[in-house]
Amino acid sequence: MDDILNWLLEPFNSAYAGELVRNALWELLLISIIGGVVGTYIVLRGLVFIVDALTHAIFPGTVVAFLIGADFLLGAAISALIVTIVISQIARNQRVSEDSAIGVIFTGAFALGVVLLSTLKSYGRSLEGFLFGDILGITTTDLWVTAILGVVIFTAIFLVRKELLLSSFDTAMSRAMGLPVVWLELFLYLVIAATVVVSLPAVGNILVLAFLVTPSATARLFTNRFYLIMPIAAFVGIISSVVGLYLGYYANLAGSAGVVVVATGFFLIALVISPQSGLIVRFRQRRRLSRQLGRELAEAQV
Amino acid sequence: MLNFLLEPFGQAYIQKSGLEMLLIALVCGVVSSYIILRGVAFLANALSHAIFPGIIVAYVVGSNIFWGGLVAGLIVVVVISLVGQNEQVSENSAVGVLYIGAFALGVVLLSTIKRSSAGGVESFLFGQLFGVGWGDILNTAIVGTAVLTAIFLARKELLLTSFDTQMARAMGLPVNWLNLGFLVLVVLTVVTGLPAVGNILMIALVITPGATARLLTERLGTMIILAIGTVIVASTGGIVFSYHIGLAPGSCVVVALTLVFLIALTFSIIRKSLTTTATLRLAASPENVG
Repeated sequence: MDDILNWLLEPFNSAYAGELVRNALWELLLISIIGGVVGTYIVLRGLVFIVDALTHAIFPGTVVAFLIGADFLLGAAISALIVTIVISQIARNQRVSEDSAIGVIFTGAFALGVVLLSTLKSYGRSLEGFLFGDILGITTTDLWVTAILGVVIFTAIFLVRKELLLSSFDTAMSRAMGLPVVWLELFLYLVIAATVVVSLPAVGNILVLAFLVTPSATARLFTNRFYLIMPIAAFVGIISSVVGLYLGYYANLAGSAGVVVVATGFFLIALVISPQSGLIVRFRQRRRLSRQLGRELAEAQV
Repeated sequence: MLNFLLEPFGQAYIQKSGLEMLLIALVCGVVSSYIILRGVAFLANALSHAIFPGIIVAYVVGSNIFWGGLVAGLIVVVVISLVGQNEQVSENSAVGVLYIGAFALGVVLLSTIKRSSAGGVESFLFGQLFGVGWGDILNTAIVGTAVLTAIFLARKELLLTSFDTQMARAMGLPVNWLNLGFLVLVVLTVVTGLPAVGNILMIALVITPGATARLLTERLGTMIILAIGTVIVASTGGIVFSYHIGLAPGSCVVVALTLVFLIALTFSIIRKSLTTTATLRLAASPENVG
C-alpha cells in the first residue's frame, strides 16, 4: 500500500523535479477547467477549424516576440487579433469558402513563423518549445497569469451566458430578438484567443487545440445538457492531465503530448460506450430492430 | 537580375529540388483544385497532420517514411469515415479531435527516440527541400502519375459528386466510395511530398493553389492550369529567395504561395468592385432611370 502511495506521490515530492511537476499539475488543472468551459462553445458551434487556424497562426507573432526579446504573451495576443480579423474578412468573399480561406491563411502564417525562426543559427530546439510547449518550465508567474485570466474569462462568459447560448443554437432567432450576433461572435473569438494564448507556454501551439476541443467533444458524447458538458469536460481534462503527467515522469514521454494522447483515448472509448450514440448502443438497436422485423414478418406469413 | 534568378539553378542540389517541386506542382495543382471544389480543406489538413505518427514509427523501425505515412493516413481515413456517422459529435469536431490526437501520438513516439540520432523534429514536419535525392524524385514521379491517372479516369464522377451529391446518388454513383477514394488520393499526394516539404507544409500545397485559382476562374480546366502555374511561380520564388538569404526553403515556398494567394485575392476584390460600380452606373444612367 505504501509502495503505491509512494509511487503516486514521488513525482510531486522528488527533490530535483518536485516543484516543476507541481507547477505543471496546477497549470494543467487550470487549463483543463478553462478549456472545459470555452471548448464546449467551440464544439457545439463547430468552430474547430477556426480555432485550429488561430492556434497555428499565432505562431509568427510569438516568434517575432521571441526574436526581438518582447513579451511572449503580447506577441501572441497581437497576432491572434490580426488573424481573427483577416479570416473573418476573407470569409466574406464568396468565391473562396471560409474553410479554404482558413486553410490558406493558417499554413501561410505558420510557414512565415518557420522562416522567421530560421534566421537563427540553430533553431530546432526553440522550434519544439513553440510547437509543443514546455510543461516543466511553468513558473509561479505563469500560474498566476493563467488563474487571473481564467477568472476574467469566466466572469465575461457568465455575464453573457444566455445570449451566447441562444446565438450558438439559433442565429436567425437571436438576430430577430435584436441580439448583436456579430459582436457576440467576435466576443467568443476573443475569449478563445485569450484561452489559447494563456495555454501556449505549457502546451504549445499545435497541441493547445486538443486541450480546448477533446475533453468537450468527449463530454458531449455522455450528455445532451449544455451546462453538464462543461464540468464533465473539465473532469476529463483533469484526469488526462494527471495520467499524462505520470506517463511523462515514469515513462519519460513528452509531457503535454502524453496528456493529449490520453485524452484522445478517452474520446475513442466514449465513441464506443456513449449511452446515446455509442457503437455498442447502435449495434444493439440494430439487432433489436432486425429481430423485431423478423418476428413481424413471421407473424404476417402465419 | 537574371543572374540572381538563374544562379541558384546552376547548383546540382537546387536542380533536384526544382525538379521535385515541378512534379509536386503538377500533382498538387490538380488535387488542390478538386479539394477546393469538394470543400474538404479541413479533411486534407487533418490527414496531413495525422500521418505524423506513421512517419516516426517508420523512422524508428528503419523503414521508408513513405510507407509509414501511407499506412497511418489510410488508418485515419477509415477511422474518420466511421466516426463521421455519430450524430452527437459533429464531423468537424470528431476530425479535429482525432487528428490532433494522432499528431500528439507522433510527438510522444518522437520523444522515445534518442535525440542525438534523430536530428531535429523540423525535418519531419517541414522536410528538407535542398536535400531531396533521385529516389525521392522517382517516388514523386511514380505516385504522381498514379494519382493523376486515377483522377483522370474518375474525372466525371469526381466533378458530379463535388457539386450535387443527391443527383450523383440518384444516378447510382457510389458516392461514399468516391469520397473515400478521393481522400486516399490526398493521402498519397501528401505522403509523396514528405521528404521535400514535410507534412505540415504539404497542407499549404494541397489547399492554397486551388484556392488561388478559384479566385480567378470558375472553369475547372483553367483552374487546374492556374493552380499548377501558382505552385511553379511560388516554388521558383521561394527557392531563389531561400538560396540567397539562407532561410528555411520549404517554408519560403509556402510563404511565396500565400503571397500569390493574397495578390489574387486583392485582384478579385478590385475586379468585383469595378464590375459592381459599372453595373450601378449602368442602372443609374438616364436611359434606364427614365
